[in-house]
Amino acid sequence: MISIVVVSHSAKLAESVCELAQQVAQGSVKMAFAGGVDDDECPFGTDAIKILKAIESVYTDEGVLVMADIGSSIMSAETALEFIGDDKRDNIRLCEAPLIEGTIVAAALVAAGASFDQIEQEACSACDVKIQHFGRKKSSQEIKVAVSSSSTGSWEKIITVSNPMGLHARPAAQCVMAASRFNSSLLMYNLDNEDEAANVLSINQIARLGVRQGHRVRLVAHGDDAKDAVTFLENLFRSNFGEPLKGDDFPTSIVPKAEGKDILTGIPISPGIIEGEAYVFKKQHPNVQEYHIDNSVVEWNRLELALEQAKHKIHRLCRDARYNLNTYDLAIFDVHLLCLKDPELLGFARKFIFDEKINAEAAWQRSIDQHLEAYNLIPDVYKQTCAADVVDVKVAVLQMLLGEQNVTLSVEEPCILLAKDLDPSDVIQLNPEKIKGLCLSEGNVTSHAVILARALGIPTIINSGSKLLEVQDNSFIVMDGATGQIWINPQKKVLARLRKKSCTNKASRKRGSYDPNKPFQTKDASVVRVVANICDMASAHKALKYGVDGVGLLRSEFLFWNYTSDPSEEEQYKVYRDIFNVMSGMSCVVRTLDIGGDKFLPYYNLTEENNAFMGQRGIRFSLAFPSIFKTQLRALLRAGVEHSLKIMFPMVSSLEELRMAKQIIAEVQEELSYEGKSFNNAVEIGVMIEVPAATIIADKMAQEADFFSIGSNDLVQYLTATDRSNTEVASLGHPFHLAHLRAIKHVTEVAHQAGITVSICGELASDPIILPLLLGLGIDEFSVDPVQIPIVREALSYFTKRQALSWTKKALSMDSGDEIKKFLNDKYTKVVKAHLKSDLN
Amino acid sequence: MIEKKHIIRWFSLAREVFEENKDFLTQLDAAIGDADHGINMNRGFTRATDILKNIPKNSDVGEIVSLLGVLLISNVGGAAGPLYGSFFTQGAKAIKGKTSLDNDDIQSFISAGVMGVVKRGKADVGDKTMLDVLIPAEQALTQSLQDGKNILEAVTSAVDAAEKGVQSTIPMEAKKGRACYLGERSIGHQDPGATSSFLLLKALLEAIK
Repeated sequence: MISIVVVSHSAKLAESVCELAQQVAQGSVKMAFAGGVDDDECPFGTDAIKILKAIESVYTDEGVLVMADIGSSIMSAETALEFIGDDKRDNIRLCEAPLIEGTIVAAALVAAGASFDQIEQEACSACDVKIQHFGRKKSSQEIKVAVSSSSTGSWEKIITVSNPMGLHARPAAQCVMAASRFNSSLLMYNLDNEDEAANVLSINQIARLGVRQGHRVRLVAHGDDAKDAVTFLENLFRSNFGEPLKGDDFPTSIVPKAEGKDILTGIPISPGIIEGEAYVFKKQHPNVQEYHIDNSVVEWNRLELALEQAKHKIHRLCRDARYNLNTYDLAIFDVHLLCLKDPELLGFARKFIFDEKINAEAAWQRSIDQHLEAYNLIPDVYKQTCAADVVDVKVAVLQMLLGEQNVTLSVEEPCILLAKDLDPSDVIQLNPEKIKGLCLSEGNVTSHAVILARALGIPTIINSGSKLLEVQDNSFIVMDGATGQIWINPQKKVLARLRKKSCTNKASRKRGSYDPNKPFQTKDASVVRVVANICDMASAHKALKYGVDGVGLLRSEFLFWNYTSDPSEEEQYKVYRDIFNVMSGMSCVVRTLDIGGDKFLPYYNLTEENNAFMGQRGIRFSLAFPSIFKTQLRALLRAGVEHSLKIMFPMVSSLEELRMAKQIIAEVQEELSYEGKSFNNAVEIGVMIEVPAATIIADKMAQEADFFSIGSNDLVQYLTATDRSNTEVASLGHPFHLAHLRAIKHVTEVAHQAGITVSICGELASDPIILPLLLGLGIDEFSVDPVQIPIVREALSYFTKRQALSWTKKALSMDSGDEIKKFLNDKYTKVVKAHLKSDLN
Repeated sequence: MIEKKHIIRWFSLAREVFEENKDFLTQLDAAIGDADHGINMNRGFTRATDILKNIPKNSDVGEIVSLLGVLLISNVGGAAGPLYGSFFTQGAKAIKGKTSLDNDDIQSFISAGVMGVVKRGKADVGDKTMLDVLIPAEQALTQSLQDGKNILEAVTSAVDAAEKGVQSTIPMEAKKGRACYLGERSIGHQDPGATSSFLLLKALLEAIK
């Protein structure tokens, strides 16, 4: 029979828990307790040796379950296990269950003769009864059902890869993180590239498979959760790893090299005409010497500590950069973190240290170099990109081992940085305030370093040839990030021309400096509300930089994407609260979880739908999984206290859905109030108008909603029944389509009659041509991506409210979308020309 | 070179330091924890050093350090017990059989000890724990020794880094230990564990001066 040990900070508590449990088990279970310390003045605490003795007193080969309360109880119990012989240790399990509930359940099951696994599992869900009783959150049982039913044995599946970049580093990292959640072993084969199988726990092995768009991948899992594991990964593939389907638009043609004496040409990456002093950065790679060591354990400890420190450094860099880069770009560093614990890399390093008795530096270097050789055999640009990440990680760890961890790329004065190539960890440290431009003599358009430089908005040119490195420090240079040209000590004439070009570029973004504090207004000073579409902290900061009137759409999906299972209420609460604090004083519209269609969450195994865009999307999903919905609402309402919070439901197609969702909000508010938690009880509730049915019954909806927001992308697609990803028909789904314009007009009319506002949050809202039309149709608020804000501000200033109204009237009388588009385009061009003329005079 | 007598002096100085700072550490812990860190450290070091007095005369440095670790594990009481215990028991493994410690030994000892704490506590720099002191101190020590400094200079730089580390915990939000239940309210308070780590390193410096 299995025995139980109870560990607590309090001796009395530990003893009483045993008594309580024995009562349930009728005294039949062997139990011992370890609690408190022998100190009359301060008796609370834990003692690993006491725990050890308690375990030994009831030890049996059938098993010992150790139940602990909090903090040091757990740590002391772990320490106690270290003093127990290897042969016995395997029979002792530390249980994560809540102390009292868990111990009672465990004792009852021990008495009933249940298996060790069963007892442990049941003890861990001991709180479910309580949770269900109060009707809050989902219980752990329910989560399991949501993920999928479990299975045993092996399972496999062949999947065709559809994301444009294939299994490059970020998706590969997601696969590794996903695989590590399951017990089953997972192998991946690339059927279109006869490589060996890759262990899905090793990012390097996956990268070496060279999986590209269109390739077929076979996933094979063995173990008790094989089916779940394969399904989870399959969903990741189906969701295209959360990547934008268009892919990054990389410059494909290389400008022919016209290397004059003082002009260098490279590949333009990120635009901007910049002049400044050159700073030539020569990256020193650590010099590693190999030597014989005696004590392998110490050497291995050194390597482990260096790996740990390298991990901290990456975390720190990402933390520092979180306002400049979005989570998708920062995910590049997930790859680095996975390399630091890659079983293959570590396995070889360990072998070198223990078998060949060489020092940690040399062992790490050899292990990595061995990998890089394998990469270099394959002439594939994506794999070379991965290789660059591995080199970056190699250097980071070597610097830690050699005590060079403080080598950073920092400059005092603003300059243009010249270098042969940079690693991602160099680029993430660049301060865009100081590094005005970046020129590399080598580099690769798909490399993570270059992607990051572009994401940081630093004007960048790469591949400009080795002459770049001959430039003297502090030389005066000018670069044009749009054409890829670099001038060294340019003549006055050239400089004047470039300065003029640079000014005209700026003029098109409104002459002079951009003023984020100015209200958004049309030419005749009619004020328009412009708000931002954001998805995380980085975009919130960007929106503030450009000046906005609030947040028109906070896409909450991003938050769910960053986790491998549902984010908890607390996790969500913190993220929402931080964003609301940043946007303090402004209204924030949050769209509740909008998955389905082309957006999946890998941890929900939704049934495959024949037509996902017409399936369980948006509010339909939330209403089907009320526990997830409630958790999100609780987090939002709590975080939104003392903020102007608005909640909006996506994909609403009937009044009943709106009523049900509102009812759930009311329930959640009641619960929070009962629990005595502070929350926003004046939240405004809105409906996203994106289904034709909603436009037709908008008058009814307007009676029960506080605001509308038109999701133009989906509305056009559903109104015209055209799939925007199908190039054969995509042009039919035209935003200028008369049906779309009439629908918008109808919605704004009935909304205004009911006294509520209408905003628009699709891509359309930032198109300068259609802007006057939307204004004329009665849109009250424009919600656009932060980068588009300056464009909208400028476009508004070209026309008057009266012009917008008269153009709209005319446009609505026309017969076709093409006609309307041409008409508006002509009008817009005319006002812009007039504006520029008056500006120059 | 650090001799056995230095190590013994270190432990008895640590005992004095924790006795003097018992109330101070407990006050720090009262703000963000369960108000027992000073009591625990004082109890742990007092009892451990009492028992250490009876250790056989021919014991080597590794044995002394290892025994201190085990004694701390069973006498401190709070999470600091397993954490400091791991520091000394894991550190001791790197200096097994040594009768005195040269530059390499002291570096291996500190590195392995810090690694022990990292593994036991599963915390990172920035979590408002003793690692905010121990990791920078370990780095400074390693750096100084590699720069050719002597042990005294290296430990001095480690203590300087430790002092900065203690200060760095004040604006942090706790991510580990009981203080993390307080979330943001832990901001603005100096971490007691980081403080005791700094005191421990300062005692080492005093002992080898």
